[in-house]
Amino acid sequence: MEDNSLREKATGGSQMTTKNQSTAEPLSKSYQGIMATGFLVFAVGLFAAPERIWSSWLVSVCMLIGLAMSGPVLIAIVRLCAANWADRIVPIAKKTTSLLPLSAGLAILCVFGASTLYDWFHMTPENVSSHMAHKLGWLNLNSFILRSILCFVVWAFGAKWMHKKSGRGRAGVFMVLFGFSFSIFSFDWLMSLEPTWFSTMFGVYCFAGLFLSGAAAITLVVLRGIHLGAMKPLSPNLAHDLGKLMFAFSFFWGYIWYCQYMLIWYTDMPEETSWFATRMTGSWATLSYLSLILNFVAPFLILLPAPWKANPAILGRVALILLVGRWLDLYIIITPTAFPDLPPLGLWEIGPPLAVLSAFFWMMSKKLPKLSLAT
Amino acid sequence: MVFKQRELRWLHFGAFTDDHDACSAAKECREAGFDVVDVHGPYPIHGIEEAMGMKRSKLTWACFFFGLSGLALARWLQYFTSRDDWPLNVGGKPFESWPAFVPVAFELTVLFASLGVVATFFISNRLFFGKKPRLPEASVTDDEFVVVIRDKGAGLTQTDLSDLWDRHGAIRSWDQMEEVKS
Repeated sequence: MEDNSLREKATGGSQMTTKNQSTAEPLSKSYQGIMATGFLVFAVGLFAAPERIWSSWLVSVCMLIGLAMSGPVLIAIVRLCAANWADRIVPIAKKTTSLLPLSAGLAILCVFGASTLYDWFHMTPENVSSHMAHKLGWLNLNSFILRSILCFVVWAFGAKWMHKKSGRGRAGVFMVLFGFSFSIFSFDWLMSLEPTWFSTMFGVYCFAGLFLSGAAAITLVVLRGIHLGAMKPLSPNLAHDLGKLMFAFSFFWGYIWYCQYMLIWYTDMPEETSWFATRMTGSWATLSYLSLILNFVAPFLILLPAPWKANPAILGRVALILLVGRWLDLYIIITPTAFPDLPPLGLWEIGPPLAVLSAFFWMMSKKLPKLSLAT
Repeated sequence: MVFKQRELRWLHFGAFTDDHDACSAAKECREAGFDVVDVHGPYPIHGIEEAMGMKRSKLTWACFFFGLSGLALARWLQYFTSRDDWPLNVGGKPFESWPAFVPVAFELTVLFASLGVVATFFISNRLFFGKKPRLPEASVTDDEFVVVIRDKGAGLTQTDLSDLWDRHGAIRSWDQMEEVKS
């Protein structure tokens, strides 16, 4: 009797998938629409509001790079910990790297915005202030481009490694390489927006954001795949594990944010506090507190009870909160450099990030049915 | 003079070499109307809590309240010493500058929660130094799993029970009298 019921379930499951495979992702039209609109907003913004659109573009590019690389990072962590629970998630995590070419393409565009975005772009040995002179060897366009290309090459090869059935040794090597390259990438692309400011914790802070948004995005793709019938429903254990992953890394992000803030606040040195001085006063302070709530307080409180961690509906909502939080986090890192007084918020700020998110979910939902995860 | 009446009842034991067998046996025993008293084994078995029908542990609440008391103590100590009792000017910061105190408050929360919950665990399980272990057999510390059950009066016969043990691949089974504590 037990065998029969199992067989019924299995056939029922496969019928469901064949039915759903013929009907593709119903949202793909809207994804394409948002993508087209978002990139159009970028193109128009280049002429209408270049300063705002470049900040917003940098936010979008960093968001997409984070989502694309979170897959290989998750796989490497899973391999290093020999975590069997993630076996069903790994095929999806492998697919996030299909966004890497797109994010590299969008990142190349930033080179044209470098003169608007980065102050150091205009610095020469003649006009540079004395406390910045020693940084010019690192912060110039040629070496910036060289390092960025190196980072992307490392990530592309690393992603390829993680795609294969490689052992723990390779996963460890990848994590070390990625840790270094992503720190340097964060220093170059985000920290150098304010070239006099420095924080040695900045790399790990950006990594925490990357992995948190990646865990949220992968959870959303899994839930979407189940909804479309391309994936078998989550077992309570797996849902609980996904909840624990988001919970842990939400806490990790909050921990790192606070560590960076507290050390700078405590030491109280002007060259270090300048960054937080803009971000923790006036309207930016409100947004900073909102970012702390979206990325840390709300997910922490919602995911604290065990039954809520294992509830797919709640997981989906928390993942959405975290993706909005990820955008706000990057927005607060990047935008105050050009707009220290009042946070600009409008079409230019919302269009490109939405386009990039739609690109991610469109690409992932196209890959889902081919993964044959339904049985 | 009151004589305490001794009440006796049967405990049944089944020994297994495989943790999955012990798990499924415990589950079926419970469905057949036995109380699963305990399952002994050399290492923790995944999913044994559900098979035994154990309720969710209340230990997390003890952990929560110990953590809360650690946090409260740390905050009180910091507040009292640095603001009321002996205010020190540290770099012109306010006396009660809480962001600097968060790490210590956090550590004390963790310390109280972890030590408190371990102590609670030992006391609630009556584990203390010098306590003699109550093992059904020495082999459960080596390579065997023993399921201990108690009849709730569901009216199962001895043959039913030995059938059940056999079905799940028990290598031995035996019964023993137990005195009921009142």
